[in-house]
Amino acid sequence: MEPHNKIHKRRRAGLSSAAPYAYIAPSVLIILVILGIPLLNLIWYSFAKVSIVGQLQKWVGLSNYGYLFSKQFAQTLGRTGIWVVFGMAGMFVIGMILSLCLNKPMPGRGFLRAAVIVPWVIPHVFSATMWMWVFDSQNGLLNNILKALGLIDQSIGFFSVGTAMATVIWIRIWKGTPFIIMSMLSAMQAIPSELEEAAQLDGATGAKYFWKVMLPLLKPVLLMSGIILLAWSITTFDIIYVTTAGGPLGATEIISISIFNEAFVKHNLGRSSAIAIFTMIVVSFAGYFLMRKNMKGAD
Amino acid sequence: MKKVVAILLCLTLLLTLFGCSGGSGGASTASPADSGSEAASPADSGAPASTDDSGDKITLKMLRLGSEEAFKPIFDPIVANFEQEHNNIDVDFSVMGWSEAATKLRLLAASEDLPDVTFINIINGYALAHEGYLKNLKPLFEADADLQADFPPSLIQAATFEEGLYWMPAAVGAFSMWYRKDLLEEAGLDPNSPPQTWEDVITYGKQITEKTGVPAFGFGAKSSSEETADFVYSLYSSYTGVPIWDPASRSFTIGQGNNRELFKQALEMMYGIVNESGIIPPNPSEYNCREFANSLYNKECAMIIDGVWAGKTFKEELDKGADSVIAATTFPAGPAGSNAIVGVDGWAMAESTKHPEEAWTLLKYLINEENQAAHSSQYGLLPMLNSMQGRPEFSNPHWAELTKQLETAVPRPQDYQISMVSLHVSDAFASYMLGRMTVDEAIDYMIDSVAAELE
Repeated sequence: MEPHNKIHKRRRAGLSSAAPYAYIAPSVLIILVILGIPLLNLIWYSFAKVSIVGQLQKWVGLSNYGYLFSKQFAQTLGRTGIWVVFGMAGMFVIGMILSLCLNKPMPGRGFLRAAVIVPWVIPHVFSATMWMWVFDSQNGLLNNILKALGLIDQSIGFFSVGTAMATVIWIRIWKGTPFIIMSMLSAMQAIPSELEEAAQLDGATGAKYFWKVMLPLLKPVLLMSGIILLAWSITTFDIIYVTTAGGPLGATEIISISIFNEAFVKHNLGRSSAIAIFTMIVVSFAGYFLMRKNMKGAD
Repeated sequence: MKKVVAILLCLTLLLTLFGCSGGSGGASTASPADSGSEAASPADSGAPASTDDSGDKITLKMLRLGSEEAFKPIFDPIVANFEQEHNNIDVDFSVMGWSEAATKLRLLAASEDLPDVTFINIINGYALAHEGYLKNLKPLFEADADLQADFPPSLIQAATFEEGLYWMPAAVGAFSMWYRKDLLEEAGLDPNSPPQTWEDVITYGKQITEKTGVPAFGFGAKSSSEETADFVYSLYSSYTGVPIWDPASRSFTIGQGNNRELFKQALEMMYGIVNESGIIPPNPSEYNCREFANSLYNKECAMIIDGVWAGKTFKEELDKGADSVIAATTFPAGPAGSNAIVGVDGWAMAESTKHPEEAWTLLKYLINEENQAAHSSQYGLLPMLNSMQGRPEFSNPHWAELTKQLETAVPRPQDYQISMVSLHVSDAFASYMLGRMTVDEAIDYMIDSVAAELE
């Protein structure tokens, strides 16, 4: 039989190892309730025909997922790809250029750093509405300015079939660039000044310094920002919904709009859930692989 | 000690979570601006309908869809008067934005929280009725001889669905044409002889555009738009003489008789207007036909297709009566006449209401002559009741023209999947107008897409 003090020590050790789980239990419970139950519902719906109010009508097996192999969905994926690639490229390029400029000492730098964040803090719906007014082909600010300057005779249709995607991508870039600027500026501040001086002594100045010294140091931050922006870009809904609602003629219908249309216009909650599950898997895998790459790089 | 405090804090957090989870009624959120630029208070704000404790006071929930800015001033006095006349009833009145209604009404209905008296439009109404969330008012209506006498049968027919009457018409309007007399005059045309047919629209349009420099006809062919679909339904009926949808067979009437050929003619005529005539503003894919009321008011176009509701935009001008430069006439006629669609929205009772008698009393109160006249004249709706004819609020000339349209109006597709039907109809129309499909491809796309998604 174990001595009493050993039993007591084992009990205390057991309690100590259980205590952390008890402390995190409320948070885990919140996550399970807020995220887990809706997720289970979503998976359940994706295998069924469900009314808009969540009433199961019948099981349909994998037929909702069959839509993911249709030409229509392939076109939606293509448009989403264009939206993500060009949107992120624009955000990174413009964000990087502005970060480099704002990293240099100059008069009014503090004010400019604050000003570039403004697009990010403006609510999405307001931003989208504002840009709609700017780009409106009847009375929009931009068309009026261009006509007043004599640069155009007839209004440009910024939300027409051929131009709508470029227009909403621009709005996305305008909205998302401040995030890159903030991330890059913080990362740039962390680069020791001695490194820049040493690089200058070795003749690595300007573009060479940027590509060979600065960019590799910024890579982890760039990667993390990229993961976050990728997830945001794929799931962006409000900008496109407010400006074009996925039109004209589906020209701007990306995955998130497709999910909305399937659920609330066509009342096909099952198919909408299948698309949402697919999106979640894609974003999760992309994020996982990028983070793994980041961690390997850090090692 | 630290562990004890930590455990106590965790328990407190847990208890708080469980304590908060028992609330019902949904979140009170303000909706973003929709086309009417309104804020909305949700239907479930304020006190829930209280059951009768002592046998006296009860609370009815009443919901109007639209703009709070527009409807609070109209209905607050009506509700106050009702409460005065019915001491045992309190009315909890709220307004919900149109864009919220599409999803929120059905969610409220499913959770048996639909307001006792709810304003319904066709987009929501057919679906709610089909799913059994609205009370069938037909027995109540047929038991009331006075009410029957006051409603034009055509409106009751338009509000009838699956043999039941699920809302009492209260907001009625048909597509018509609004035009500017001054621009007609500037172009050398008789301002009192507006275009009556589509051929007139083209002829007048070209002359107006040439002489005045403004695009004569404010028109757009926006895809995925209910307004575009409504226009197509009106155009179809004006060419064929029949509604585009057969509710009995749940299919288009395009394949019947000569309808397809006539529909093709109509679409080809519109294609000519949109792409070849030079009389519409540029970039038609960005607008639906109902987005030009402001342009008409600002003299940026001479003719638009819109309903009675557009009158709100130029109410100030219309109130000048015979001196108004803006006037209305019937929807341009096709070979079969001027057969525009009529929107018949109105007041419904929730099937789940715990006070059906009181709710019916409130509903009848809302549609009596005085209150309906206030509703119609202040918001810009047609004087639909027989008892409202000749009232001074509707003496301006444009009312007569708009009311005339009701004589030949047709209902929208009476189907609970009308949203889906309208989506494909508008997409097909826009695709053809923008040259993405031939006319036959567009018609086939319309028919096939809807057939594939019908439940």
